Parts: sequence; C-alpha cells; structure tokens
Amino acid sequence: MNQYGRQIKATVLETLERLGVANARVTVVDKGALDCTIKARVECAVFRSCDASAANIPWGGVVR
Amino acid sequence: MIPRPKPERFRLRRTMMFMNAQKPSLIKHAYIYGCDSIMLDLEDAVAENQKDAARFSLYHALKTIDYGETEVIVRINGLDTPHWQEDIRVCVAGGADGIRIAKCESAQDVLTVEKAVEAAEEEFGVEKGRTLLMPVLESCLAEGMGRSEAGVTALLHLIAPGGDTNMIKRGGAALAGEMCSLVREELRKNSRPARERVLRLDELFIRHGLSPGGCADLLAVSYFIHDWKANEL
Repeated sequence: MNQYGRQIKATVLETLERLGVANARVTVVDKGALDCTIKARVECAVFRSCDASAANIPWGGVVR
Repeated sequence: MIPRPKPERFRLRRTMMFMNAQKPSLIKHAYIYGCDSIMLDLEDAVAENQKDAARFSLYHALKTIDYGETEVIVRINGLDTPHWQEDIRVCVAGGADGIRIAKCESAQDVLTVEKAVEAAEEEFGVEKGRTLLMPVLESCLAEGMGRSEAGVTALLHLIAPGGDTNMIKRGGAALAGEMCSLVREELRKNSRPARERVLRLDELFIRHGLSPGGCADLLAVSYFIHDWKANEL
C-alpha cells in the first residue's frame, strides 16, 4: 500500500476506534481526500448505521 | 482546533462567497480569493438526504481549516424543516462566526433561532452571544431582490388593500378604489410583478394624478423597521 493508502487507512481506523467501533466491515473508496473529510465520512457512516445521524450528535465529544 | 477571533458585529461584508458545506475541498482554500465572508451552505446546496453528512463535513471544516481574516457564516435550513436545530448545534460547536437564517419571515423566527443558539452555546461551553445571527427579514430581499426593487413590490402590496386617503383625496373614492383593484389584480397574477408591469401601473397612476402618499409613508416605516432590526439583532 502506498503512502496515501497507509495514511487513509490509519485515519479510518483511528476514527473507528474513537467511536468505539470494534467489529465492522468497512469499505473505503477514496482518491486522496483531506483527513478532515475522511473523518467526516467515516463518522457519518457509523452514525447512519446506528440510525442516529439526524440529531443530537456529540459534537466535540467522540466526534472531534 | 483553529482558535478563531471573536466575531465582529460590524465589519465589511461587501462580498460573500457561497459554498456547499459538504465540500471541504472547495472550502479549504476559499480565503485566498479575498472575499469578506464565506457562506457555507447547509440549505439549498445540500440534497435533502445528505443533510446529516453535510454537518459532519462542516464540523471538521470549521475545526480544521484556517480561514484567516475571512468571516465564516453558515446558512442553516429553514425553520419549517426538521434540520435547523441540529444545524444550529453543529454551527455553535464548530465555532462558526455567524448563522444566516434562511427564509426568515418574522421577528419571531429570529427569536426562535436565538433561543436555540443560546442553548447550544451553553451546551458546548461557547461564550454566550458569540455567534452572530443574520436574518434576511423581508421575503423580497431574501429572494435576492435589490433594496429598491423590494421596496417597489412592498409598495404595491401596501396599495392593494385600499384605504390610502391621499389617493382618495386626489382622485375621489371611486377612482382610488378602481386603481387599488387594478393593483390587486396585478398581484393576483404575480405577487412579484415584472418591472414593465409596474411601469405600466406607474404611468396609469401619473395619468390620473394619483399619488399613494399614505402607502409611501408606510413604505418608509417598513424600511426603517427593517434597518432598525438589522442593526439591533
């Protein structure tokens, strides 16, 4: 995996860990987005999978 | 986190660049174009089923990107949608300089938003009153009309119900009533009549020597109230 691939994977795993996701199948299609975008996408996917993306997001808590 | 300076209520706002809040790739270098404010849009630019994703993007864009001297305003969804409360939470938590209230129609709308902003400031430990509010009170101005264009439309709506004593004194009750019903008919066809339609009415009024002076006074009051609210809020 090249430099960007490693960086993307690290960001995704770090975000999942922060959100307390221990078991999940995650597919990432990315061509080098900013770190903040990758974080936002992963967070949104996790909250959507729990049907909790519409309101009362813990901004500044686990989402940071 | 980028520590943004405290927003200033009075500052230059000659140019505002609107951008989809969902696209950090656009937002990240927006400041280099030298606009006074950037307007990150959660409303029309974002599809209905992507509002949640846009908030996550916005939050990280607010927290990560250095905007320098550029003011950062977020346009939130209207109060008639299920989105605006969470929009306000993310704006305050992310530290946006201000919130633009979309389709704001009344002072009550501003108060409703203000209350939600204060609650969010409390929740996220943000200094109370830090987040600026930017209402666009009059519908016409909200639709992007210029100040005088919006005034012309407002004047027609003031004339339509009748009762302008200046018109009655000049032309008699019958003629004044007839002209008012003409205006009403015009507004029924289109509540924002095109310029040529307005000019046609203008000619007609001039030909009859009619001047809607009472309505003009009400228009002046409308401008006054609008400006007063804009400065107060």
